[in-house]
Amino acid sequence: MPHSEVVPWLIQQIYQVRPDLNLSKTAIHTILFKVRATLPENDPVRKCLPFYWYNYGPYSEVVESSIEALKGQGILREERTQTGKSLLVLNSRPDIFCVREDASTVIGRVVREIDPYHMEAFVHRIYRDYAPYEFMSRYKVDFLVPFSDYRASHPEGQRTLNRFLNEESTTPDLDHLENTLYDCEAVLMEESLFEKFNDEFTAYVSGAGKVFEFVREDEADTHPIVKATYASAVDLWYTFAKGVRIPDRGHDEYYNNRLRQWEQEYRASLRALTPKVSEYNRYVRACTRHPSSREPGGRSTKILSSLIEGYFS
Amino acid sequence: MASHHFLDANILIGSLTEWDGQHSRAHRYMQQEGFRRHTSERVYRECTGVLGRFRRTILQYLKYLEQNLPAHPDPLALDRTIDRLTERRMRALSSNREQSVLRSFVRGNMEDLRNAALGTEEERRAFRRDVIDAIKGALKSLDGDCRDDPSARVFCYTCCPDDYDVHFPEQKSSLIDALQYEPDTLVVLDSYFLLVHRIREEVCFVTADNAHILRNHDRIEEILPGIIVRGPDSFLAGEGG
Repeated sequence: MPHSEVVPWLIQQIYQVRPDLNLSKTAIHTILFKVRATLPENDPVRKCLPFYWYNYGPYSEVVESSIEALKGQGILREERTQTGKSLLVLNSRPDIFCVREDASTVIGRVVREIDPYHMEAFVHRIYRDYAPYEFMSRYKVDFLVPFSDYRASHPEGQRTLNRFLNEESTTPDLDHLENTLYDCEAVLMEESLFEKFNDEFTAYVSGAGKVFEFVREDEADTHPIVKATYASAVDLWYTFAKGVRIPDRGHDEYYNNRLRQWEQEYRASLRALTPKVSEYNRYVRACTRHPSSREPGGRSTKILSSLIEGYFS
Repeated sequence: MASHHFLDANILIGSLTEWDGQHSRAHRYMQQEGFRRHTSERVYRECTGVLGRFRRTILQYLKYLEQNLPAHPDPLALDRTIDRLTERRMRALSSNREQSVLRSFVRGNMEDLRNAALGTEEERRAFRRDVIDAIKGALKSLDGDCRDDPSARVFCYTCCPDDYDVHFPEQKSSLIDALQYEPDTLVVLDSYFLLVHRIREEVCFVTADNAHILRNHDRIEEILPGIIVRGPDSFLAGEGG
């Protein structure tokens, strides 16, 4: 089979196994990434599937153009769900090609294991198993997703009785979000490429820490500051995603000729991020002018002293 | 001597807690009365950046220990194991300042580190939480002290420009030649900007930075008329300066 026909064939194979599937583009990219990762090292199909990590996980320009080609040929059709999400469905049964057995078997196995109603879980698994940095699954899967869920479950104007309760923690979801953010900070990337990003991330964590403390006091009327905190978190992710494809572990060799352009895009995104994070922190400061009266304990004071002593020595 | 003081980041950081180190003079200086203290948002941002980096350095270190300490460490060899891992982690840090912050943290909290290593997951989490709270407390204290408000302990101005290429191009160029470090140049120019546009009286720039600023005080005072550069010792009665 000619190289250019391999990926369109792989996409059709997905639907061959499960003709009922409605898949987002991200799902197709992720399935084929998993197929590639599962194929033996020497399988020639692997070379036809070059990926890099980007906004929504592993992404392949070859897969993207193949999807467009299949749509153009009328083999795939795009449908919109009620929530506006775009899904790809099989429009006409594909011709049966002479197939490569290994790839066909792997696709069958991967696709049969998918739960079409929980595609997100499949994508999250890919982050956990294959993302080039631990930070990615921690931030994208463990922080951004639950934060989005938290926002959905706390619509504007909702009032809770938390402030009238005296228990130690009445906001476990907020506690969990905040802890996860510190977990993310603990696994930030060490390469110099991410030095500036790490500084912006740390500045964001300092601001978000104040917000979680503030919201914990009383969740009423905190919708705008929570919204701003989520929006800044998403901005950080998109900037990071522009950087993560640059190191060797973030892309396949196929994309080496794109590195200079990617680096320019990443630097531009960082330049745009800096004032956004500063603005966010100014806003947080203005909103949390009277923060919690909780004082740090004796051990925290000792810890701070040791850090400041180190700073001056 | 000027009654208006402009504070550098190291004074604000040094004043955040009472401690035994030789630089407690920043804290003692802040206890002195009789001056109106000012700073700029650039300095405030530098302080929050330093505090955030403290947190990041220590959280990354604790994570590193967690990943590299044996599940059941030998209590008799634990100090040596922690020292060995600390040295290894230190070599991965590119900044000397981060290295000395980590070294000082380990020296000052060895007992708690040892207890956390031998303790339960809950105890380890509690220690990590105390690190986070230490920085939260410091950020909170900084926010309380430095506000864009004349009645604040330190009046933090938000009106200083990002750069001085338009406002004071000649002074900027001369200062960069003298200090050889642009971030400090911009902070010193913030104090001059406030002197010219807001305070309109002599301003004392208070800093503990000897490497770039104190040792060049003559030159700075020559380039920026009305600015006097002093260390915090100068204001501690009976302690010289």
